[in-house]
Amino acid sequence: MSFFNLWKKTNKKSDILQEYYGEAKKLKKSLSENIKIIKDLLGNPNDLIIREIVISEKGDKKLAVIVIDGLTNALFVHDFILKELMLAIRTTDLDDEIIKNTKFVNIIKNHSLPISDIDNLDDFKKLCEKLLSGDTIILFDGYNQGLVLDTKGWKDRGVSEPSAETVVRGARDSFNETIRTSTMLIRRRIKDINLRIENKIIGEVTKTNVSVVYIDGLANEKIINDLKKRLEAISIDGILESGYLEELLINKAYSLFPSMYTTERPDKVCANLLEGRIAILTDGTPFVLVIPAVFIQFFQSTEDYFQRSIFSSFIRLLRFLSFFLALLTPAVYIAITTFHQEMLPTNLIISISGQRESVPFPALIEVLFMELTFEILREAGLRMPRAIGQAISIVGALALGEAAVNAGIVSTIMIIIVSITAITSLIFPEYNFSNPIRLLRFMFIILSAAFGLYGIALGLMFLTMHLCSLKSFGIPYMYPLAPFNFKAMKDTFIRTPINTQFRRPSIFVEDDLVKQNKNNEVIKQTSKKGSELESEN
Amino acid sequence: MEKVKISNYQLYTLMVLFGLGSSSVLGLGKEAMQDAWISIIIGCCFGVIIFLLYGMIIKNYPDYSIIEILNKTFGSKLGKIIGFIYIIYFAFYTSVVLRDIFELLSLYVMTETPIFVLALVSIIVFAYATFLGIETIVRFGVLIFVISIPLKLLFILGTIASGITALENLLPVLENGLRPVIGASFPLITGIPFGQMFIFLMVLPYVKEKEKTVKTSIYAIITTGIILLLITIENIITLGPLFIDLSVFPTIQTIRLVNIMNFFQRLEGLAVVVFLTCGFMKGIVYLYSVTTGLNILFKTKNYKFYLIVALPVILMCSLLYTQNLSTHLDLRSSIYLQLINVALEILLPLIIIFIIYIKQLKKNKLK
Repeated sequence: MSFFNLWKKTNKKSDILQEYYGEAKKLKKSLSENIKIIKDLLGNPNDLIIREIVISEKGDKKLAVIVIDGLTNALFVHDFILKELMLAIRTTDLDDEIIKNTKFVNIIKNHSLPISDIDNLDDFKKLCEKLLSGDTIILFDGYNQGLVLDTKGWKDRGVSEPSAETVVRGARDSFNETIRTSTMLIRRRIKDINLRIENKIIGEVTKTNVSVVYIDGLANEKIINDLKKRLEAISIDGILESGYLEELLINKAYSLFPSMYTTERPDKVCANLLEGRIAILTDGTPFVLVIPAVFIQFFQSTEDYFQRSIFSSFIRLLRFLSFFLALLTPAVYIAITTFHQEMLPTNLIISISGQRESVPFPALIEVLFMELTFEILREAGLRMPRAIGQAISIVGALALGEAAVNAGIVSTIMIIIVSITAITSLIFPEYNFSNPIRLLRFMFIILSAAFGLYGIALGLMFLTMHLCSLKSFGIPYMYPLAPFNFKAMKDTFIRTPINTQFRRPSIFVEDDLVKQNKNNEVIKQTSKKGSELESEN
Repeated sequence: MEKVKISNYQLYTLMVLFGLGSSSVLGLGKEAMQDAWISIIIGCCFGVIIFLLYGMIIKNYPDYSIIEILNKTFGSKLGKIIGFIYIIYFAFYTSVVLRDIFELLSLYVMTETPIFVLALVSIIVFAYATFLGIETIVRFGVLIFVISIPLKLLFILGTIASGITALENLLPVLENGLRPVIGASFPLITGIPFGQMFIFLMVLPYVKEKEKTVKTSIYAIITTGIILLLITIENIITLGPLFIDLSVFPTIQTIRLVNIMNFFQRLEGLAVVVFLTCGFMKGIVYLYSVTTGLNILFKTKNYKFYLIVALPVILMCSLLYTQNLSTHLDLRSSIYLQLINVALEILLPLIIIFIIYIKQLKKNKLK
């Protein structure tokens, strides 16, 4: 018993935690006592700055300015808090009435601090939370009240070009790690009063800011409520990236396919908001989640809408073709060379078998060897220090190139196949989407090695069934293919000109379906006039 | 029963795929020789009439599957026994479809793979789809419909483009009179494809717009008939009636002859896979009906549990009930099986309608 007591006594910190933090204890009246408790709670760290100042000549009005160094804008604190309190306050003349009747705390709050966001404070829990998120705290001697001043300001990366999703034509800005900047980038594009940004703090330890952004009246209320309920249910120590949320929010966490769209481009998020989708912003990462996601979405890029429709349609069809090429090329190679040689033209099959003559392995081993080598190179290329990049690319070219053929390990056609899969799997606007393809490729390789073309058909059937069974927040993943929606076909495999797309996708949107006025009179008239002029000439 | 709804167009696609199932590969109405297409038209008409008969049952019990309807009309004991017979009947047909699939595969695509392995991997597809539920099955069906039906029509165009068709193969019309034509249409009406539409009495309760179900189903049956008509005519004009009679899977045999510019040739591997997708849909619908039927019969909550029972039974049955392809085809066209078909698909529904009618008469009298 005594042992446990001893242990309890030594664990002094937890006592203070329980007393002042756990149950939101009120502030004390004495300033020195308050300061001592704060120091104890935070463990008196190096970056905690407590500046005690005396205001009145008599020396009875004492207060303390508390900040965490690095999280606050130091110049701001100096200019607008310390200077005001220590110097400017002496020169200001206030009415005697006010000085007599108002509390000291309120005089300071109302008359001498030129800061826009000020809040009152009376317990230790809020104090610590605000202090650690970069606000300045002012405590007064003799009052069990304090002030919170918004002085957040830290070294920020700034708005830079997106690194994972580049475009030729289109906006060049991307989100960054600060959630405020991200919301700013959205607000700058959508100036509607219905844009809702709802904040929530998730993570018991990290206390990460998570914002749910949507357009009220456009986004489906059921999905919003569902999302909020799921966010409410999350209980985790920390959220360090939006990927945590992605896995915590979905039902089928074991599916390979992403059920949320991840992007770092504000224009993409805004386009999705206009379609009635919902964005989830997480502090600390530039990657924003967009729900609900559908399969087709991963084949669409924002740039599709900035180019002429015919060309974008061509690019889209190219992406669908690439999807199948990336998924099936090695599998089809195995199936044809081992099971269905008759399906190729005779000349080609003779040439292939001529190349394969010197290769000692069956096609399966050859394909697995090359695909794995490529996957390893790809991963190494991502993680290696920049300085060794050149060395890796030279070695990679040897391993996946002429040298491998000369060594008699693989055939020439194999190099072509690996190159095709490598290039086609990188065509998707969303990087995440190539991951399931990379893994499924191996599934198809094994299936085709066992059952030939029939194996590939089986695999495709399994894949389609799985995709059909998926749902993202109640929206079928394969929409608008299954369930089929003919109207949505205008913007699925092809993109028709923007002046033919009058409606928003009905499955996401509540009721405001009309995207643009159907009789765009002005444009029609001008184009008519144009044609008349031409005929006159 | 799952608590989901399927829309009418999904029912339509599922029915068309089901109807095309194995019948688009097997030659239909072979006995009628060059008049097989007339048999199909007759079969289709009777198929519509029979479905109108089912429509009378559905009208009275729109929210119930056939197993529940049997319970309600025959009383719980007799109803259960008949229900169980139906489930065995469905299970038998599941294994027949499975047999169709792997016989076709082992004949054209996977000649050296043991049939047990082919049967196993094929039934896993059935099982996975059944496991995912009717909502996924119909969605999957829509995708398959969009992909496989146009491809089938392309194959038909392929034979015409290859210049191997001869329209005079259709002549002379009605060489031996109407009798053989009607005789050939009999198995179409009772068995594949039109008689087997009976299974949809297990699926119809899921449909959203109940008042349109019969209409949708009849459209689906007519579509099936038209596509089968096209395929049969294509087979006759390419192969000729004599060669059709000799070949096991005439449609595949036809596509084998496609040769366009010496590039599009040897398409039978692809064709088998495309035609098989419909066969898979058929098997899936059957297996789903077996498991949900057992679930309703034993009043349990989750039908997925019955997969564990049904899978090995169906797999073994499909491997063992017949020795080889020719006995399998013989059994398909045997008179005993057709009598069973007639009893379960036409006579019993007639009895059910009769009982419903009598019950209504009694009610009216009481009033």
